[in-house]
Amino acid sequence: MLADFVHWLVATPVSHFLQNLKNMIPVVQTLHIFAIAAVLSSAAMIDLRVLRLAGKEQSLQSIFRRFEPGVWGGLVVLLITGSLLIIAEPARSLLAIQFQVKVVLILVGIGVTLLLARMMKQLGRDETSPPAARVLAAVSLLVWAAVIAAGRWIAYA
Amino acid sequence: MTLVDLCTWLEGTRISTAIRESGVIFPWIESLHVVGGTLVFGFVSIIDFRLLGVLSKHQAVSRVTDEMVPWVWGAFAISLVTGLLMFSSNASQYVHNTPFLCKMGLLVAAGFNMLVFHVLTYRGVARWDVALPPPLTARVAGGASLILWMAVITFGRWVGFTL
Repeated sequence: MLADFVHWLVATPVSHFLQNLKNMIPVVQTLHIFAIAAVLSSAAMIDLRVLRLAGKEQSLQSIFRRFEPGVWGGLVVLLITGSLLIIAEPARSLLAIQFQVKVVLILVGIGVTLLLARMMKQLGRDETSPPAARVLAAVSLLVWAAVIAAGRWIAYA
Repeated sequence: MTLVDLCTWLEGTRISTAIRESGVIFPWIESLHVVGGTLVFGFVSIIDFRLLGVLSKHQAVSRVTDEMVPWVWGAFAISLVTGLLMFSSNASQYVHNTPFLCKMGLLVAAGFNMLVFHVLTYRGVARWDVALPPPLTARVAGGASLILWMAVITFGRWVGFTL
């Protein structure tokens, strides 16, 4: 099924076009790294604040307002550049277990971020982070770092 | 001791031999290097965008730097240790790799930019801590830092394609 899709995708004109674009892969990969930098560091600022390790002078809400756009903005660029890389080299990515693990991890990361966002909105002004939020923050940190590791491991598939 | 001697010695150490001979240690070190590097770039850019007067505008500059600097150094330490480990596993090839040498030069330039900003502009931060837009010298330092760190990542990625 997936193999059929890969065969179809690699033969499309879009894929051919991207395959023949000189230096497309390294350039798009570099942009992909800039985007994950935005996601990881923005998520880390939120997570570290929830864990009371950074930014303690600011309220949880204000930290969230400052850094949530970095997570979602970064994810959009990540998705676009990632799609270009997949279309150019579908077999290298889609069929690799490393890539499949990465997709699951990204979905977990998005889910954890959404849950944290909901918790923050329900929180009173000067309230401290509830234990459940701290667990989510720790998971978020680990998951985004794991997304990077899984991505790097695709090169060794 | 010449550079060649140093490289030969580094490559002969037990740790670099282990990295070279194992198929899995290098990718794991590399993964950590990317985590550290993206954190350095991301954290530094939080300061840079504040210096440019683009983001975190409601925070004083000194507050943003106080908040970020320890984390920048922590992330840099991860990148440095993992980078040294990768370098030692194949030192004599790295020292002849143009993208790697460019990356090292750019790192020095980024450090120099930071030092100049710290010594000259940041010394008087009390006068422009909340001023918007920040003074030209601060904006130049922030813009230069962003460009330099993006170049560091670009050349880092390029090392992987050429080594």
